[in-house]
Amino acid sequence: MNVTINGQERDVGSPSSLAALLEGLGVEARNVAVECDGAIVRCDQLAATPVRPGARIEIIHFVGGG
Amino acid sequence: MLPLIIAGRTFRSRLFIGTGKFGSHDVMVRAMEASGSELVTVALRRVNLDAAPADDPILTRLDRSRVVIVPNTSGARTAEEAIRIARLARAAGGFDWVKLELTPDLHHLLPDPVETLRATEILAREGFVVLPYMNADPVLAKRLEEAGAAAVMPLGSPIGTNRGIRTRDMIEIIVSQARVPVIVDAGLGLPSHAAEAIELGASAVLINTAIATAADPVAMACAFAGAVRAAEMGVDAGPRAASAEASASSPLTGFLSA
Repeated sequence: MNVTINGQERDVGSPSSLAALLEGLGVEARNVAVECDGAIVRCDQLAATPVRPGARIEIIHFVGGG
Repeated sequence: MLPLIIAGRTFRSRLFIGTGKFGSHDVMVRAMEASGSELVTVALRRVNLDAAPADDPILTRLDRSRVVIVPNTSGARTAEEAIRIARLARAAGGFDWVKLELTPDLHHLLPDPVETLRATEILAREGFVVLPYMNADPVLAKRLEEAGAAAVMPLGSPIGTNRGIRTRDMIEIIVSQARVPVIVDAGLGLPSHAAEAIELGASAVLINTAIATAADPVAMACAFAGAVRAAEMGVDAGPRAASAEASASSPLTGFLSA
């Protein structure tokens, strides 16, 4: 299925959950924040949150900043 | 000086450090340790999924038992964007301190007072420890304090300019009226600028560019720490007011006469 991640459309196959989607992207869940269709998904809810086709997903992490 | 306490947490060092612009996390960590700082800021950005990570995740390099990590809202132009970033930071890492940075004008990076006040009100109500970056406006400082800011962060000069404290008179008024700590943030380029902030009565300074982009960031972190400490000792020692008239240091009697 296609979803939009960080503003870019991608074919992500058919992940069973947001946790599986992150794993497929090679992203470690404990280091990121995830927003799906405008709602924040807490780390402990990633495995229980399904991914729908066309979802708008943001994957954010911490970087150096002042 | 009174102990520096923000939201119930006591800080031994009045030097806070931003973690941006360092050549590597190793240098950043060494500079942070050399500075003795107990508060550091970080930013949130989209993960680049098309590039291998250049470095370890920054959070793995910061010891939360020793330093307070404060996510900033850099990149936000409206209160809504800043609130979204603060909530994401809380969800991602349990961070409930936030440095509000609302800079719609990318040329000068000056903070938007109206959006900053709105975001402060909302985030303080949600239980965040809100540290708003602001222009050096004494009226706004009081409004932010009333809205629940845990400290106020007036700028010395625009972010990253190294121009020092160009807002001196307004910072003095802010300090004289504030009931929360005043942290001079932005534009401090030299250790003497940091010392000046503390001498003006600020509770702390936040330094990033001046340390991170120095030829030797670790040595510069030491220099800032020394300047801040020296200024603090000087304030505690009770300096005398400046005077327009000379006052002889040597006795004015017993001169050798011709």
